[in-house]
Amino acid sequence: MKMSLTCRFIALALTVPTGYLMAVTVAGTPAPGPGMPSMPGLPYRMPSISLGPPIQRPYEPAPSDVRIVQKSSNDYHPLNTSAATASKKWSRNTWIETGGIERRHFWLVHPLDTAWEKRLVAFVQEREFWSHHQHLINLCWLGQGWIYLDSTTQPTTFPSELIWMGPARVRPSTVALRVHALRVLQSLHLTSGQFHSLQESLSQMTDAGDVVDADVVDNILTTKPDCYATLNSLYRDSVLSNDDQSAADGQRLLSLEDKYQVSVEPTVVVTDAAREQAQKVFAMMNPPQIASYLATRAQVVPNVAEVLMAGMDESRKIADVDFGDYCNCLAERIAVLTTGLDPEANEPVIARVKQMLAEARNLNESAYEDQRSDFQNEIRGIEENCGAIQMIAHSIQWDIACFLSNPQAKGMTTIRARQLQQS
Amino acid sequence: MRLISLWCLLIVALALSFARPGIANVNSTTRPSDLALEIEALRAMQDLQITSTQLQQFSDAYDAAHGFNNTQVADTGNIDKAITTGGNDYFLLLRLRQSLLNEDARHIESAEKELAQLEQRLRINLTPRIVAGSIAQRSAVKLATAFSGWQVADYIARRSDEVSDPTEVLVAALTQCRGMSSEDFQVFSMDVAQEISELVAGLTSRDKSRVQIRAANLIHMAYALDDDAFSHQRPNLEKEARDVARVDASVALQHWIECEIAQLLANPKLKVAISDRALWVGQTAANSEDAQ
Repeated sequence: MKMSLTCRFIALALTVPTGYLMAVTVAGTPAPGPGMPSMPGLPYRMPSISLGPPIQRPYEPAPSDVRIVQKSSNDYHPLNTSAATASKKWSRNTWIETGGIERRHFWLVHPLDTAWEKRLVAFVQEREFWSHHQHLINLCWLGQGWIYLDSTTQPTTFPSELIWMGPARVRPSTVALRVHALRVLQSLHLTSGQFHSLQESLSQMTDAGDVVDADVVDNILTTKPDCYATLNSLYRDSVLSNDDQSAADGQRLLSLEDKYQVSVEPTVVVTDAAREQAQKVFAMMNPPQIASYLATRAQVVPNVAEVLMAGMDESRKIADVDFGDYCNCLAERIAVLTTGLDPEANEPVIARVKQMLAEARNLNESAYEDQRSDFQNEIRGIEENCGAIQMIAHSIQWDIACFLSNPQAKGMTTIRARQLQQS
Repeated sequence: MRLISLWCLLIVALALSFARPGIANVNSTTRPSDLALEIEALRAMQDLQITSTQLQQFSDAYDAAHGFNNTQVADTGNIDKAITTGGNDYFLLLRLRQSLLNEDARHIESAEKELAQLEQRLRINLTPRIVAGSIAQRSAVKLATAFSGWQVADYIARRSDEVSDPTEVLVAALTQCRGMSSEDFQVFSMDVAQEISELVAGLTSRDKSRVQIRAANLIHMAYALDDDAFSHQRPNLEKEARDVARVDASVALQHWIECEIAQLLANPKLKVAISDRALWVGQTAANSEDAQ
């Protein structure tokens, strides 16, 4: 409290769904409430700065992504239109000497997370010489609850560099899509050259795929708060590349999915462009990259015979209205696994699988049991057309195609690109 | 006095057999290197999630491959020297073998961890190096087709650290070989050239020896150059290396899995591992029937 009387400072905490308190204190206004980390203040000092040309930022948020809730009370600059516009006024690519410390402005305009509606994200300036600043920016960005401000080690941040803004609401299924995209990116272990090629592949894709079960995933995550909290943690740790924590989060999410018998990974319709580009991305990978991809995402190569046999059992139980979609989905999956991403090559397998599912559905219990071994032989025939390594290649290509069709893939790739650039 | 000593020995023997139940069917005279070979066979069988039909195929192919007896096993002498039969380290091998037979993931993990520490302490690789003969290699190429995608994917995932990129290996070898003694260089260049040829051309291709010769020549050129000439010619050598080792990643992986299967097939203790596994599965089934 003493500090709030003697110093001019800003303290910011972000309210996250778990109930942290957000509070802003400017120039002696009351201290933050319970749950908020203490933010020591220092005397405010206006630096002398000269504006340079704006930085070409890699990601320009859509206006709908950002809305200003409140702008800084220390209103030295007219940051009163929109966050995107305001950020440009403050970005510069020249080095600025302030009190012997070089710095460069950086606008954080990614309201990434999630259930942050009515929460605050701050624009902060990045000091590239101190990696912990980058970390703090990430923390702020991800709603960890606090941010480095006008305080301990550097004296030159001034309050008007902050804009408080609330991100547009993000659907829970969108968080799940982002998690999927980040995990695929992490598993690919791409070199910087390959990463650049991946970005090119993404840029050639005009449309993302439709998310067919977004409502279902939203409903699951809304009604199961522990799932959603774990997904958010996984998202945060994936963005920050906290590998150990994200592995633990992933395990926790898997066990919750098992517990509730649900899947929180949305299904994205793979586009034709993604099919084409996925083969190019796969062609860039070398054997160790494929091996490490399998080590982290081994589930991408299922046991075809088991999947199809289970599918036939399932097809006998599901309702008529769902049977068509179920057939299409399973047939496409089996066809891709055995014949790859070429739609023409898929057709005969799709037709055969659909026929088998229809046959299995129409048989009575004893006839189905009698014909089980025939079905198994037929499945073996479908599987035998494809070698093991070929199947692995098809599976990874399909996984990459799903990633490329993911509406969040471009955004997440931009994040990774920026992190790579900064590291 | 002699009677007392005999009693003491009997008591110790009994205590050991009670202290380590489940290891009873190992002959205490089994050499540590043989145990290490059997462990490697069991490991590979587990990583491949081998089915009973495939096990039978392996058993048949093993008999055929060893009829020609052209497989070599290196490092066994070092292992036998480093590990005393009946000592604690030996029992660690037995424990790992038993856990692999039981398919007990938790105990396998802890025993593998201890084994890694032991390897560090003794500064020895406790996995003997197996060089498969031509018959084993040919059989391996055929047997590799018997595995499903998920089995191979799982195997690659479990051993992802062992998969290498032939281009990276050959390019790195150009620098690594420099400054080696001539004896070390001979072994090194042969090993690298063989690895590259197997990954690029496969075990049975006619191109294998051509690739091997090209890779060996390249390494010899890098080795023979003085420092100035090497730094001058390095870009060309690396370009040539990339050309020699150029292969589609899927093809390289196919060749890698064939090599792995060839090594399993050439393992002199494969048959023992298969019969131990069958025996153990049979015993477990009989025990559960008795319990019911």
